[in-house]
Amino acid sequence: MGFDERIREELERLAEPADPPGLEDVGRRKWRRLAARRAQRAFLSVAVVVGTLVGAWGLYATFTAGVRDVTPGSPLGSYANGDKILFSLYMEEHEKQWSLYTIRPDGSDAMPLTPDDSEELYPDHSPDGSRIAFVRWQQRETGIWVMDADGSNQRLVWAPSDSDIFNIEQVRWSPDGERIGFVLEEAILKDPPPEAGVPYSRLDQSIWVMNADGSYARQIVDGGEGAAFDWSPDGAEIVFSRTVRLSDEGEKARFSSDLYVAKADGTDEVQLTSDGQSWNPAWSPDGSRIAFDTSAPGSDWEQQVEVMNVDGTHRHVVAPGSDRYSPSWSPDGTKILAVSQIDDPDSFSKCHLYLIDVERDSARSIFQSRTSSDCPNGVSWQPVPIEPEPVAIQTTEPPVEPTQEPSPEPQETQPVEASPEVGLLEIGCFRSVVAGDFDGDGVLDAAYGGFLPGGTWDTTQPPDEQCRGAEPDPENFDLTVELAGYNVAFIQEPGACEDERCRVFAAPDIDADGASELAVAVRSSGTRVALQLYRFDGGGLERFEIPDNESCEGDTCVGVAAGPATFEWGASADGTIYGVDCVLSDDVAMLRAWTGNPRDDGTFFESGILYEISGRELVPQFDVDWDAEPHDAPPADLCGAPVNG
Amino acid sequence: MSTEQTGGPLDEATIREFLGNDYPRLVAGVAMVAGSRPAAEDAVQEALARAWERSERGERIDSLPAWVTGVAMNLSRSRFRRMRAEARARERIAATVVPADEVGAAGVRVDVRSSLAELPRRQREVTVLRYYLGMDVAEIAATLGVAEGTVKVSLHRARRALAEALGERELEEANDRGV
Repeated sequence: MGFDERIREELERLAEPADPPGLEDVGRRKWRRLAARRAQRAFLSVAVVVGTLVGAWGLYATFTAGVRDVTPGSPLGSYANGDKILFSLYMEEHEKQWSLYTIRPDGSDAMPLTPDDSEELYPDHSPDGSRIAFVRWQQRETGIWVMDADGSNQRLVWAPSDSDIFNIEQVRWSPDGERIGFVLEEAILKDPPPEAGVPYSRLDQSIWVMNADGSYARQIVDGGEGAAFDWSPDGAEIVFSRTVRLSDEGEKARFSSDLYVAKADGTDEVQLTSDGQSWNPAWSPDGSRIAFDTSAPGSDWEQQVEVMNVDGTHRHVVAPGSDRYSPSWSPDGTKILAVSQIDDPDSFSKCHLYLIDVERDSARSIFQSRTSSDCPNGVSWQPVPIEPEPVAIQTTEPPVEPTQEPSPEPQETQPVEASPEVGLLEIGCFRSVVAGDFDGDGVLDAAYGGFLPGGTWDTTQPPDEQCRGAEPDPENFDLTVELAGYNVAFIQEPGACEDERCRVFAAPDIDADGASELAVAVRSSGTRVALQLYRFDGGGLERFEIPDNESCEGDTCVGVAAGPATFEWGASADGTIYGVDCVLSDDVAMLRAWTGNPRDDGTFFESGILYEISGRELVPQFDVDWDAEPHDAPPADLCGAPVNG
Repeated sequence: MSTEQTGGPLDEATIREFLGNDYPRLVAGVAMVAGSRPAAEDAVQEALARAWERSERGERIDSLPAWVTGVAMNLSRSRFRRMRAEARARERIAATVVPADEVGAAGVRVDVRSSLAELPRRQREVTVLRYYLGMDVAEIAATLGVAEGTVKVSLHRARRALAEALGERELEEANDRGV
C-alpha cells in the first residue's frame, strides 16, 4: 500500500460521518439570518431619520465618518496619547502562526514586533506604555512573558505547572502596573482517555492575579467554562464574564455568559447582565461605562458591541452592522476597537479591526487580514507615546533597503565603478532598488521599481504619502524597472504596482549566460502577488519562459502550462520578503522562488516553489525535499555553472 | 463532493441533495480539522444556511460543496477562537494525553489522530481536504483562498510530518520520487 493510500485509509477509519439535519433545520437558520438583516436595516433607517431631524450638518458628519474609505494618514488628532495598537495575528502561510503586530489607529504602519520561532498572543501594554505582557507558546510550553515596548528584554515571568493541561488566554496589567491579571484554562480530562475524539470533558477557566514579577499568583474568580475580564481604571475592581453550562445533551451543550463586577480580590461579586449572551467586557478609561459583545439578534454566529453604564443602565448597541466583538477602548474613551469577521465577495471570511466612534455611532475598518486567517486577538492600545517625535528627513537619495535583500549580487561581479550616469541619476521616489550585472558585461547595473517622477522621500509621512513633491499619478505609479546607467531595459506595466509589493530582486545567473536574472514582485490581482522573472537577451529584458510540465500525485495530476516564469502567492503582512535563489537538492541545482519572514538572526522561514534548472530551462518540481528548517541567506553562486545543465 | 450548482438561487432539491450526499463527510472532515464534532456540525449547517440566503439575494454559487467547505472551515476556526470551545493549546492536549504505550491494536489510528492534531492548522486542513474529501490541489487552493503553491508546500510538510509519526519516512520518500 502506498503512503497516500495509507493516509486515506486511516482518515476513513478516523472519520465519523454525520447524519444530515432536516431541510427545515437549515431553513430556520436561513430565516434567522434574514430576520436579523431586516432588523438591522430597520434600525439603520430609523437612525437616518433621527439624523435628519438632528440636522443636516449632523447627518453629514455621521455619514462622512461612517462610510469613508480607510485613508492611511488621515488625521486622528485625539490619539496623541494612544498612537499605537498592539494585537496578535494568525498568519497561516507561516510556520510561526501567531505573532504580535503593531498598527496605528489610522490603519498605517502595520508591522511585526516579535519575529522569532515562538508564538505570541494576548498582548497588553503596561499602564506607562513601557512594557508589554503577552502569552508565548514555545516548544509546547506556554507562559506569560514581559518585554520592553520595543520588543527587547524579553523574560518569562510565570508559567503553569503543566502546559499540556493548562492554557492562558488573556493578560491584563493592573492600572498601577504592579499586578498582572490573566485567564487560566484547565482541561478536565476524561478517564480513561478515548481512543479517538476530544480527550477532555470540559475546559474550566478562572481569573488569576499575580505581582508583575510573577510572584504570588492566585485565583480570584471562577469563570466557569469561559472567562474574560478587565480592570476598573482605579484598579479597585474588575469586570468579568462567566460562562456556565445550561444543559449537557451529550456533547451538544448549551452555555450562558453574563457580566459581573467584583472587587479586585474577587470578592463582593455583583451581576450586571442576565441575558446569558454577554462576553468580553472592557471598562472605559473614565470608569463610567463598560463595553462588551453580545450575540446579534437571530444569530449564534455574529456578535455586536454594546455599551452600558457601570450599574447596568443605558445599555445600547453601538454602530450596529456586521459581526463585531472583543471591544477595546481608546485611551481617550471616544472610540472602541472591535474585531470583525466578514464574508467577503469571494465567500472567504476576512478579519478586520473596526474603529467605532462611540459618539457618532459609526465604524470603519482600519485593518484587514490579507488572507483567510484567524482574527486578531489581545488588542491593546498604547497608553502613552513611547517614541520620540520623528525627525523630518528631506533627501533626494534613494532609500536603499539592503536588509531586505537576500545577498543578490552574483559572486563574479565587480565592485561598482563610479560613473556620471549612476552618480547623478535622478530617479525620484521608488519602492526598491537592487544591483546586479543584468547584461553580463562584468559591471554592476542598478534596477529599481516604483514611482518614477522626481520627488523627495519623507519618512515622517505615511507610506503612501512619503514621496513628496510629486502628485501620485496613477498613470505613473506603476511598476518601473530600468537598468540605470546603461538604459538597456525599461518595463512599465500600468496599474501593476499599487502597494508596497512593487519590488525588484537580483536573481542568480540561472541560465548560465553570464548575466544575472531579474525578478520583479508585482501585485497581479486582488491581494495576489506575483514574482516575474526576466533575463537579458541582447537588446533588453525578456520574460523567462518555462516549458509544459505535469506532476502526478496518486491519481491527481497538476499541470503547469508553458509561459512566463511567474510565481504567484497570496499576499502577506509586512515583514514578508520575496525573492529567488538557487539551492542544491540532492546535487541538482534548483531555482527557489520564495517568500519568507526575516528573523532577528538573519535567517528566514520560506515558502514557495522549486524549479529544476535544466540548461536554459526551468522545470517545475512538486513535493521535492524542501528545507523546512530556517536557512541562512541563500548562496548566490549555485546556479552559475548548472550541475545538471 | 457531488452537488454542483449552475447558477441562480439554490432550490430545495439542491439543498436536499447536498445534505444527503455531501453533508456527512464534510462534517466528519471539518471535525477532524477542528477536533469537535458538534462544532463541526454547527459550522457546516451555518455555512449552508449562509449559502442558501446569499443565493436568494442573487449571489451566484457555482459549487455548493466547495462554497460550504470553505466557509465552514473559516467558521469553525473563528467560532472556536471566540467561543472558547477550542484553542490550539487544546489540540496540544488532544495530542498528548494518550500515552504511547496504550495505543495497542488501535495504535495506528491514535497515531494518525494525534499526528493530525499536532499539525499546524493549515497543514491539517489541506490533509483532510486532499485525502479525506478527495480534492485536488487547485480545488483546495480555491476552497481555502490561497495560492496553489501554498497548498503544495503545506501538503508536502504535512505528509512528511505524518510519515515521521507513522514510521513511513522511506515509503513517503519513495512516493515523492514516483516509485
